Amino acid sequence: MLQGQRWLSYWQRLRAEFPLPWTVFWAGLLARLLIMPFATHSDFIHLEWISACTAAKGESVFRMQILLVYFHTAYQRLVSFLLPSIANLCGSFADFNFTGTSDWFIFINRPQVFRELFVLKLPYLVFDVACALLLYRLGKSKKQAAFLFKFWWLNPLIVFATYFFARHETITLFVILLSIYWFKQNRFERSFIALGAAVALRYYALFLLPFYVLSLDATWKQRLKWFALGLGPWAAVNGMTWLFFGSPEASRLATYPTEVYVLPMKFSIAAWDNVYIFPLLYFLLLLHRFYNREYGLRALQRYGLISLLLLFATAYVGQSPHYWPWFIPLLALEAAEDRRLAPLHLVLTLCLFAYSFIGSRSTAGYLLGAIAPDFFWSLPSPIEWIGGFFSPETAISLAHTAFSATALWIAFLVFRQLQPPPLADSTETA
Amino acid sequence: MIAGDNMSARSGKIFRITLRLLALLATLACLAACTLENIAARQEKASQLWPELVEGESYGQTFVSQRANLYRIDLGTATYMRVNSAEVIFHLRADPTAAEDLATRIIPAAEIQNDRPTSITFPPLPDSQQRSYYFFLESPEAHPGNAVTVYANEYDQYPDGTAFRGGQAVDGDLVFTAYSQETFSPGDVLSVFWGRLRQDAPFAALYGLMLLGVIVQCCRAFLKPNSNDQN
Repeated sequence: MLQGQRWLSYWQRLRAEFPLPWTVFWAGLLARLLIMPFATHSDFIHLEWISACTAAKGESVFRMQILLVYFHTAYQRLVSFLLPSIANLCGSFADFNFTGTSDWFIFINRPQVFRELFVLKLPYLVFDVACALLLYRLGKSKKQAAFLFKFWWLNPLIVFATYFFARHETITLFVILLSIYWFKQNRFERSFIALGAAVALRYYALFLLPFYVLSLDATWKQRLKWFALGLGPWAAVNGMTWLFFGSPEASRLATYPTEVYVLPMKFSIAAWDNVYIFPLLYFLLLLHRFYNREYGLRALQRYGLISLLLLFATAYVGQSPHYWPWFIPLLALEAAEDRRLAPLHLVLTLCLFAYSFIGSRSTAGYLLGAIAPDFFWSLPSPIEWIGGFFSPETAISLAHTAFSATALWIAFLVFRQLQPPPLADSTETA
Repeated sequence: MIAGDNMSARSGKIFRITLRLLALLATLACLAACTLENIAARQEKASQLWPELVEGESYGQTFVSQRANLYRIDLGTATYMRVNSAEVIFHLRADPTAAEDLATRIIPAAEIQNDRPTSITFPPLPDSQQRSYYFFLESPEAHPGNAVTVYANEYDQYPDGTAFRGGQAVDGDLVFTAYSQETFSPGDVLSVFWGRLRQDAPFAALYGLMLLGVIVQCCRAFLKPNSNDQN
């Protein structure tokens, strides 16, 4: 009884101290719940199939981002009592073909598909809520906290990537937000370990690590220590895979089509000689960071955001909407300070949705196939409709161009806020 | 005052008419059916153009339709960028040995596309799912310089069929896409959805209750917003 009263008073105190915008919370939750059991992409099914096979056969798998596979395997085991049919998922496909659509069609016709989609997406919802709450806590005032919460919780990119596309990005984003939270609280060891965990989960977090290290006014010895801490969890995962599988996880990176996704934009100098645009811009930004004397969270979030926007402006991400949320937390934090970025984010979102037409039906009607498979499988994608009037390739490329322009414009606006590096000693002597 | 009453009466009338129109539109939308198409078979990879389709020659392909209601075949064609006058005859048969056509279409030469697919439609075949077919083109009045041709791949790209030339199977496949069509009404879609929900009734019931709870909370929050809701 007493325990119950204590919890009640704690809950009341929490509500009084942090008055969440409840209207937004319930509306956002309703939107998420409405989508959860009915939408999926074959990428999600592929991961769940691998996890089901790992759970069913008890065999270890050696894959890129192995932590996420084991996370899903453990979760499937945990909720197996809720999903009696999940055990047969492994046997349903000899080798799940996630680039085709026939196995996807077979999955969405499973008798308990709604339950399976709902329960398997529950961890994403938990991490999604946790991300929103962490962003809320990162606000400097009540007003800013409410803005940050709404920016995340009503963000169509988050909803699309996590619930329609059914991908696990909220897990990594939560860990990144945690590292930002601890960075803000000057708990740098924790912050770097959390960032390291994010790198172990999703490699893209590695792009942020140099900015974390260089955004601290510290000696090089300390910076080296933090850099090592930031790489520690990933190194540990690599050590484990090397021990159990005879080869480090990083070796799987060789199978990743980097040229297709990360480095497609380039200047061809000669045969076998290219200048890649994203690495070029990234190194320039890194040099700017190196010579800049601006330290702290604000500098970190600005440099981090610019680097991710540069990546998105130059990379191939149209068919992979699950990558889209990567820049959302940093953009939210920056938009909370500079409200001009909020409408630009809206333009970015519209461009990304138009760019996603590149996936044709796989990023349109197929996502809702579980509701009525034959109907949604027959539904033409918007690009097929556009194709009746205009070249689909040109339409998609224009959307991508507009997206890149907006991303670069936001990056420029944020970059302009950064203090220019000092002009060395000449000014002092003058 | 009277003018104000008139204004409110008029706006009330407009509101009622708008509501009725919306209700009518919603009813029409529910009754309306949409016809959608699906790919029933496809071979898109071209590596060569076949020679001109002239008198005495025929180009064909066998394939298996993955779906019911096969109704259209898009064939990769070329006109050599010239205006041809010899018409092309399209035949659809059950197999290369069948004597009877399931569908026949006479296509004026002007309708044949250059370097793009030419669409050939015919009445839908309801029982086409998982059945094999053979289509071929001939152009009895064509001669060199006034003939069209087709795109093909010299290697076997389509495992469920093969190309035919002069009635004889040859290596490779033509470039084609076969389409089926299906008509769906919103009622059909809802009925399928309802049936699928009923397949897992315990989940559907719990899910429904949960949604109801969230909707109630949502309404309560809307009616009593806090300071941060307005921020």
